Amino acid sequence: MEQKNRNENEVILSVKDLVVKFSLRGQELTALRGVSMELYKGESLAIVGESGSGKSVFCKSFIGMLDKNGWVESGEIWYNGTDIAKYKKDEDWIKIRGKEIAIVFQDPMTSLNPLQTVGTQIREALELHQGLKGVAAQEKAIEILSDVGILEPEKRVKDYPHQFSGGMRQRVVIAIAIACNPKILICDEPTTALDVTIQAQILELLKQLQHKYNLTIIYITHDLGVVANVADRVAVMYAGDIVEIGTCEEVFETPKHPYTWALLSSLPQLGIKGEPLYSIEGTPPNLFTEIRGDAFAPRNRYAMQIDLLERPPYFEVSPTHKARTWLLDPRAPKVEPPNTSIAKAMESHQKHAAANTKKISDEKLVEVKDLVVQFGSNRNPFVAVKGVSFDIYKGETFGLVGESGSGKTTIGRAIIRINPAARGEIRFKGERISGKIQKELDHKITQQIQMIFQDPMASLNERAKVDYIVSEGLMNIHPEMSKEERDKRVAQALRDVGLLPEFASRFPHEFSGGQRQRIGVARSLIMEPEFIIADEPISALDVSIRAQVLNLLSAMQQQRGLTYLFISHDLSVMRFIADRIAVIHKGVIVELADTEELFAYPLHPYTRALLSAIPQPDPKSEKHKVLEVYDPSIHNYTVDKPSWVEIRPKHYITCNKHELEQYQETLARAGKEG
Amino acid sequence: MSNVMKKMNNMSDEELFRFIEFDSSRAESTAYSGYSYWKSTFKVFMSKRSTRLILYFLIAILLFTFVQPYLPGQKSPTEIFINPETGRQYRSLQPNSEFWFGTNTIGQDLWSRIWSGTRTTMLIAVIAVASSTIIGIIIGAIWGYVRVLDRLFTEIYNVINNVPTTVLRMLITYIMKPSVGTLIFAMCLTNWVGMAKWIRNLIIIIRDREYNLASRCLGTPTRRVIVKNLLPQIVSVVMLDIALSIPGVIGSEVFLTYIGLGLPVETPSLGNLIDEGRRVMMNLSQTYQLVFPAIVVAAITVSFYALGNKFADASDPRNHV
Amino acid sequence: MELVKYILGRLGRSLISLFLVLVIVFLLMRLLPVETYYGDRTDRLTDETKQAILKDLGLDQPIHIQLWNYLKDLAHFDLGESITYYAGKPVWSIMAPKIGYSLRFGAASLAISLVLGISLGILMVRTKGKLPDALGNAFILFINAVPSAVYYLFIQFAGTKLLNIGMLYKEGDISTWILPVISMSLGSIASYAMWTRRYMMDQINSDYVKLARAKGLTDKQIMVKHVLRNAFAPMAQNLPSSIIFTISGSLYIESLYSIPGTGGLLVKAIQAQDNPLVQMLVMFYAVLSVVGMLLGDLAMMACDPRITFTKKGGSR
Repeated sequence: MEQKNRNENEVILSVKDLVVKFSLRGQELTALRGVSMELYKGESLAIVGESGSGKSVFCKSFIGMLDKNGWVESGEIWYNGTDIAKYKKDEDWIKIRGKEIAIVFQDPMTSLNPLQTVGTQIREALELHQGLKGVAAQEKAIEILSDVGILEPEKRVKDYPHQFSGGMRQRVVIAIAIACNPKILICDEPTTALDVTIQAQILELLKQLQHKYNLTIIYITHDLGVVANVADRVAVMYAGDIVEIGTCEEVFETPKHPYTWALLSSLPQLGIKGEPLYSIEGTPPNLFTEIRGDAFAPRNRYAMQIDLLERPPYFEVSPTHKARTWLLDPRAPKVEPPNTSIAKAMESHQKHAAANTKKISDEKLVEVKDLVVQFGSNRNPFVAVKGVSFDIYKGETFGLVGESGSGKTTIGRAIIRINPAARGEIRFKGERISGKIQKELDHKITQQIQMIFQDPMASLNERAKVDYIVSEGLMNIHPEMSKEERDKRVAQALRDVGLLPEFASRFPHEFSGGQRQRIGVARSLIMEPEFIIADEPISALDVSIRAQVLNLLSAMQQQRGLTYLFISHDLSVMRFIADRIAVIHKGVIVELADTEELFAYPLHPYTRALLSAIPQPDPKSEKHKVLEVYDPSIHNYTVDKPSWVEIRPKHYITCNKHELEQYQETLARAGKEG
Repeated sequence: MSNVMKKMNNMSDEELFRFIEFDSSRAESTAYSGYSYWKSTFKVFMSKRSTRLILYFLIAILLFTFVQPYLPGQKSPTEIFINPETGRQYRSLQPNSEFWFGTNTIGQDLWSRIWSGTRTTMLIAVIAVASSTIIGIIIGAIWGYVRVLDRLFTEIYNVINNVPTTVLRMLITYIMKPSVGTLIFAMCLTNWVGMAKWIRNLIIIIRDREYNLASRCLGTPTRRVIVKNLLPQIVSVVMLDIALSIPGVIGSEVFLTYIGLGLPVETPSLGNLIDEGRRVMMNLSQTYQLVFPAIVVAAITVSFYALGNKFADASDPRNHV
Repeated sequence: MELVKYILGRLGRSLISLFLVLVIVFLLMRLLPVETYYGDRTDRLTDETKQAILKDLGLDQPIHIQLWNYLKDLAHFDLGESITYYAGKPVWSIMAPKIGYSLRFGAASLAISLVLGISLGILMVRTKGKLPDALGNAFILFINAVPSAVYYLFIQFAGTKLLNIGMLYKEGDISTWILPVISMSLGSIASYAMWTRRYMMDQINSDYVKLARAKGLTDKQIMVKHVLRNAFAPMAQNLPSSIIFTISGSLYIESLYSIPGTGGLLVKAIQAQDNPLVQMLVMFYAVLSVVGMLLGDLAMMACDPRITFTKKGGSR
C-alpha cells in the first residue's frame, strides 16, 4: 500500500561519497563525511537526524545552495545523467533549481516576501518554469492555491503574506514549490514551526500533492512521528553520515544501528511511567574535531574496541536495508536490541500503569480560581486567559497541554507573577499570592516556586559564568551566605543535574542545549523549591537529549517530593510524565482528568483532535490514522451557556447542557464496548 | 593513521570486537575553550593589523597632546612672538626650524597652538560624550525597563527630537555665554537623547528574553538585573556610540566657532584654529594655517570612527570563532 | 476611513508636540539678558529709551502674559519683527524671498545624492568584499567621520583655486552652483549609500530571498524583483525628513558661499543677535521636522502593507 507510487528500479537521484566542508574563521569543518544514497522515483524518503547531523546541508547540496563558506570537496550527485556536484556557477544551477528540484523551508513566517501578494510570488514561479503569463498565470495560481487547501483562492490570491496564519503561509510556500512543477520536492522540517494539529494537516496535504503531481519527496526532520507518518524509506543521519537506511517498517521494527536503537527507545512514547526513560548520554560530536572510527562510539553503550579505530562499512541486512555498524559484522558478539516497538511498549505500559500510579496526597499546593490574564491597554485588551480554575496537589505532576496562543505559558507566568492576574486569584499553600502581597510572603514564594524555561539558548545570561547563573537566586534569598558556602552549593547543584562541578567557571556559550537546560534546572533546584513550573522544558532540545532532561526531572521529583506544573504542546510527553492533564484551548481549559482517564476517554472534540494529530513513531498505526479536525464553531453557546462539569469522577469538561448529554451518551457507548 | 593501522593489525578479531566500558565523562565532554565574551571581543578586535595601527596611532596622538607642554623647547600657545631685529610680530611665518608649523596672523606659534587646541577640544569632546553617555544609559535603561514610564519618556523624546540637533546646540550656546562649560553643556544636552533612545530600543528587545524573566523569578532586584543582565549586552553599542559621538562633537565645535558661538579667541581650540585658517586660506602662502589643524581634526575623527566600527564588528558574537 | 482617522490622530499628536516646542523655545529665549533686545546701540541708549524698547516688545510684562500674547500673535500669523538684522521688518517678509534659493539648491543636491547614493550602495552590495566596496566604505567612513565644516572648506578652496570658480554665489552665474551643490550632496550620498548597502545586505540574507533562489531566479532577478524594493521600505521613513532638510537649506554652506537662503539667515540672525528672528527660525525648523516625521510615517505605511492603522490587521 505504502509503496503505491514507487518504482523500485528507477533511480531519480543518486549520491556517491559526498564530502562537504565548511570554513569557519580559518578552521575547516566537515559537514558531510562521504554520504551515499539513492532516491527512487515517486517515493517519500525521510532523512532523520539531530541538529548538526548534516541533513539540511545534504539536501541543500542537491540544488547548489550551500552557504557561501561551504563547498563540495569530493563525491558525485547524479541527476538525469549529469553529475551536478560538478556545477560551480549559478547559471548551471538555474537549470536544476525549481524546475527539477524545489524546496520548502522550515519557517513559513520568513519564507515569503512580505511586500508582495502571494499571487505575485506564485505567478513568478509559473512564469519562470511553466511559461505562463497574465491571465493564464493568475488562473493557474488560483488553481494551485485551491490545491493546497486555501479557501476562497480567488480572493486570497491578492492578499499579502502577513494576512495569513503560519499554517496557511506554509501552504502558500508549498504552492510556490508546486508552481515550479518540480520532479523532486525537498521539505526541510516543513512542520517544525507549526502547531501539532496544523502539522498533521500539512503532512496530509503533502501526501495528496505527491499523488496528484507525481512528486518524489525528501523530508528532512528530527521528528520520528512525522517520519512514521509520511515516509516510504528512512535514512538516519548522525555526524555527517547516513548510519542506517531502509524501508520505514524495517527501520522502526528491526533497527540495526545502536544510534537508531537509542533514538527510538528514548522516545517518551516508549517509556514506562515512574521508570527512567532509556537515554543517550552526552552530545553529538563537534565537527571541527577529526572523527576516527565510528562517530557514535563515545555515546554508544555497545561500543567495541574496533569502533574507536576504524569506521564501519555498510552491512546489508536486506536488499533495502543497510546499516553502518560493526555490530553487524559476523565477528561481533550478539546483542539483544532494546525494545523499540511502540506496540510492545503500549502493552507493558498498560500493565505497569496501574501499578505505577503514584499515590497523590489530597493536600492542595496551588489553587487557581477564575484566573483572567490580559495584555495591552484596558481599553483594548487582549485576553490571553479567560477565567481558568484548577488545583495542583502536593507531589503530583500537573500537565497543561495546548497549542501556541492557548495561554498555557501565560498561566505559568501568572503563577510565578511575571504576568499579573487581571481577575481571579492564585493561592499557594492556602495563602493568596496574586495581586499585592506582603514582602515576607513575596520572599518566601520566590524561594518556593521556581521556573524552568523552554529555550536553553535564551534562558541563560550569555555574559555571566555558570556559577553566577546558578547562584543568582541564593544571593537574593540568602544574602548573608558566605562565598564558600555558595560555591559548595553550586558544585552540589551541578553534580545533582549530572554536570561536572568545574563547569562553574565557564560561560554558557560552550555548552550544548541539553547541558544548558540542566544548568537551568540546577539554577531552580538550588533554591530548594517545593513547586516548579516547567514551561516546555524539552521542546527546544534534540531528540536524543530530551530523555536526559525528562529523567532528571522525574528523579528530582522522587528524591525531593517536588510538585510540577508541566507545560507542553505534546500529549505523548505528557502521558509519560504527567499525573493529571488539563487541555487548554484559546485561554479556556476544555478538559481536565487523570492522565490514563484522559487517554482512555477523551471527550472534548479539541482533546480528540489533539490526540489524533500527534504523530506516533509507529508506521503501522500512523499511516492509517484518521485525523480529527476541531472546528470551534460546532459549539453553540449563544443560549445554552457552557459550564465546568465533572462528567466522571475527577474528569472535568467545559460544555453546555446539550453537549453534556452527548458526551454522556459517548461514555455509555464506550462503556458497553469496553 | 598508520599508527591506527598498526594497532589494528596487532589486535585479534576477538580483541577488536570486545565491548569497551562505557565512560560517561567521554560522552559528556565539551570542547573546553575557556571562552569569555570579553576576551574574544578583545582578541578579534586586536587581531587585525589595521585596527592595531589605528589604535596605537590614536593613543600616541592623545598622549602626545597631554605631554607636549612639558617637553623641552615648546613655546607658549598664546604668546605673540616678536622679531627681535625688526621689533615686529612674526606674522604668518611659513613653517621653519624655529616655528615647526609656522605662525599665525598675529605671530603665535601654530605648533603649540594646535596641541593646546587639541587638548581643549578633546576635553570638551570627552567630558561631553562621557556625561551624555552616563545620562543616556541611565535614562535609556529606566525608559526601556520600567514599562509605565515608556509613554511619558517617548512623548518627551518626540518633543525634543522635533528640534534639529544643530539648531538646538546653536540655540543653547546662543543663550549662554561662550565658554568651555557652555559647549560641554550644549553638546551633552543634545547628545544624551539619541543615546537614551538607542539604549531604550535595545533594552526593550532584550528585557523579555527568558534569562531576564529567570532573574525575576529568582527575585533578583531590578538594579542588579540592569547591571548584570542588561548593561553587559549593550556595552558594545555604547562603545560604538561613544566612538561615533566624539567626531560629531568635534565637528560641532568647529561649526559653532564658525558661526561665532565658539570659544573666545584667546582659548585655542581646533574650532578656533580652523576658523582662523579659514579666514586666510585663499591666500596660498598662508593656506598651511588651515591645513595643519584640519589634518589633526581629520586624523582624530577618522581614527575614532574607524575604531568604533571595528569594535562593533569585534563585539558581535557571530564574529567570534 | 481608518486611514483618515489615523492621519487625524497622528496630526493631532504632531500639533501637540509642536506646541510644546514653541513654548519651550519661547521660554528659553526669555532666559537671554534683556540687553540683547536693545539692538546694536546699547551703549548710546538712555534708560528711558531702553524702557520704551522693552515696552514696545512687551518684555516688561510678566512671563506668562508675554507667552499668552505671543501665542495670540502666532494665531494671527504675526511672527514679530526683526530688531537688528532688518530692524523693524516683519520676520516673515525677511524669510519669504529666501525660501526659493534654498529650495533650488536643495532640489539639485537632493537629485544628485539620491541617484549617486543609491547607485553607490547597490554597487557596493554587488562587489561586496572587493575593491569598489572597500573604496565605498572608505568614502563613507571619511565623510561621516571628518566634520563637514572642515571638508567643505577644502572643497571651496580646491574649487576656487584649481577650477577658478568664483568663491561666492553670484546670481545668474551657474558655475557658482557647482561647489555648494557638491558640498551639500557628499554627506547625503554617503548616508544613502550606507543605508542602501545595509538594508540590502539584510534582505539578501533573509529566508525569502533564499526561497527565491531555490525557485530558480537568477541573482539579477532577485535583486530587481525582491531585494531593492524591500531594502527601500525601511529607508522610506527617514526619507521625507532628509528631503525636507536638504531643501530647507544648509546652515553652513549657504553662509559659506553667501547664498541668500534660509539656512544662512539663521547664522546671520545669530551673529546679529536678532532674537525674534532667531526664535522664528528655530520654530521654522521645528515645524519642518514635525512635518518630516509625519510624512515619514505615512511613506512607510505606503511602502509596507504590514503596517496597518488598527490593531486587528492580520486575519487567520
